[in-house]
Amino acid sequence: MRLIIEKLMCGYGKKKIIENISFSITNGECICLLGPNGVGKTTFFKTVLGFIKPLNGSITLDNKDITKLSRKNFAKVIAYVPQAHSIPFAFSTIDVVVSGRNAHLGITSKPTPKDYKIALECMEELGIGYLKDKLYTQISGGEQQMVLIARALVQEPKILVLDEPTSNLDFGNQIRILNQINMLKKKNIAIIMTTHAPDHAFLCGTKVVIFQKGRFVNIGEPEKIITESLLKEVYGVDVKVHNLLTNINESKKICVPCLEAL
Amino acid sequence: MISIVKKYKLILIFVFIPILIFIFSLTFGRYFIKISDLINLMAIRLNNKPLGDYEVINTVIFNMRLPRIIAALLIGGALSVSGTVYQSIFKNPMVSPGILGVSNGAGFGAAVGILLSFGSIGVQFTSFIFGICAVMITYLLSSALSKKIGDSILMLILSGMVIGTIFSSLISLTKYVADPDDALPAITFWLMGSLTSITMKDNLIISIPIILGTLPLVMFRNKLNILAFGDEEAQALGENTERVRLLFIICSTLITSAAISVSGIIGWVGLIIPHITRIIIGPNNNLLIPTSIAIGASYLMIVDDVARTICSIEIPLGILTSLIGAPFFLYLLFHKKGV
Repeated sequence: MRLIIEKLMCGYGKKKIIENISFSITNGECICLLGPNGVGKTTFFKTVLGFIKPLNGSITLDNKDITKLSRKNFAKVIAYVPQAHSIPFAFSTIDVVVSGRNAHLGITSKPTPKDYKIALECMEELGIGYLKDKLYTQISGGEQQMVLIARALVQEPKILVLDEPTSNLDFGNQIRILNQINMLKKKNIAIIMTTHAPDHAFLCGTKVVIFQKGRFVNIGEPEKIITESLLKEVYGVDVKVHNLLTNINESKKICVPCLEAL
Repeated sequence: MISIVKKYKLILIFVFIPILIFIFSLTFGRYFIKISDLINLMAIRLNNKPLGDYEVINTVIFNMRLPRIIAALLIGGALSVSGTVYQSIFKNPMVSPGILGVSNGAGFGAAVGILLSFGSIGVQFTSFIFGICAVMITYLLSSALSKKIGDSILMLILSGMVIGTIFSSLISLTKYVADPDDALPAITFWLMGSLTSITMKDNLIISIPIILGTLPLVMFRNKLNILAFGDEEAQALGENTERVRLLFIICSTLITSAAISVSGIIGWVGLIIPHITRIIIGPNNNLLIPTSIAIGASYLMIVDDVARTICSIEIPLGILTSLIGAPFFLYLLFHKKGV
């Protein structure tokens, strides 16, 4: 499976926000989208997810134009994990997860016991089986994020799109989510995620896409692309990029911001 | 998945409560009828025997009470189900069936009908049509706006507010020009809501749009669970949100408009019953939709019982639904556990 984005131009109505984006992603890859606020990451995101139509260019999956798929068939290919958020009704977490089965249901049918079984198995695999009878509105942000990931996974998608999955989470939950993303890579799911932490691209990304005002700058392996000069150019701040040895003697890069000396 | 406790609750709500209230409502009133008399009357009618001493009871039950009780069932169920549907599609538990202007539209239709002395069938008809027209205008307006601005749900609510306000001003205008001796009190009384003058024929007529509208709502109720996550997420879950929402709006409008056209404006039911039902059964629409119909129907039967018995003149139903509903709602809020 290969998703190819070619010369994509995104925007609302006639107003273009960002253009000339081209990259591709295949099974087991994780692409991190990096860039400052307000450069059009979200617009690009919404275009990939089909919420807004591309102004130009194409998004194809194995040579098939996915922008022409029905909503239902689209959902079987690409699943969306929004940022953990509250919902107005106190659904139980299992009901939230099982709603991911929607694309696989008939037009008037309700989730069957089989769908609930799939949902429960998925939750147990993610280590959140203990949440099944809790109310979604009463669990922590980190748990909500895991529930939303479970909901996307029971959709059985080929590609998972995550919108800043670590935002608003405490340090431990951030690491847990990143671990989970690496597990999903192993399961051959393709992942596209936005993040505000270049370190997350070092930890999970097989590729990184850098966005800058009105254009997209660069794409490639995080270790090669994310340099001190690039971070200065994109974010306008001084950052040192260091090499570290990890617990498994692997060389990893890490960003250390340089604060102004007072 | 339904737990055992929930299953018993459901059986209780669906079978026992509405039937008990139905029978109770038949016997209850300023002229009290004993259960044994009710059973005897049924036996007589089933065997086609002469009524004899039961003539009066027969008249009270079949000509006076039964039409109202059936109307309360239909209208209570209709208002509750459309309130539940709207709260889900607008992701907001503060929404009532009138959000898109149907009540004010229907009210204006009725006011015009009364002003032009159309007679009761005519008033029902203009009310029904104007209720639907108001929502049509709201929908067209909102789709034009959301093409320009986006955020279709917000545009729907705002358009609904605008159209609702316009029709409510038009109602005031008709009241202002109405003859203060007959048309004005008739309009005012109509707007307060009542089941006094309902006949079996009315019930038959409104049951058609109410059943036609309710069936798809029940059939497609699982989609409400998806819509409750918001537009973008629902789309990502594989739902064609625009189309599904339109279907729900058409069906809800059909049933609300039909209900209001015979009963006048009965507020609060469509707002409070979904809440009460959610407290009892949880927010999953697969259970919530059918349950809210049963509870709404039971609730309006009870309130109508009170309306026709509490004092020698009838109290308008619209007043009582809120007078009884509001404190009861407060009671539930104080006693609810973590919903």
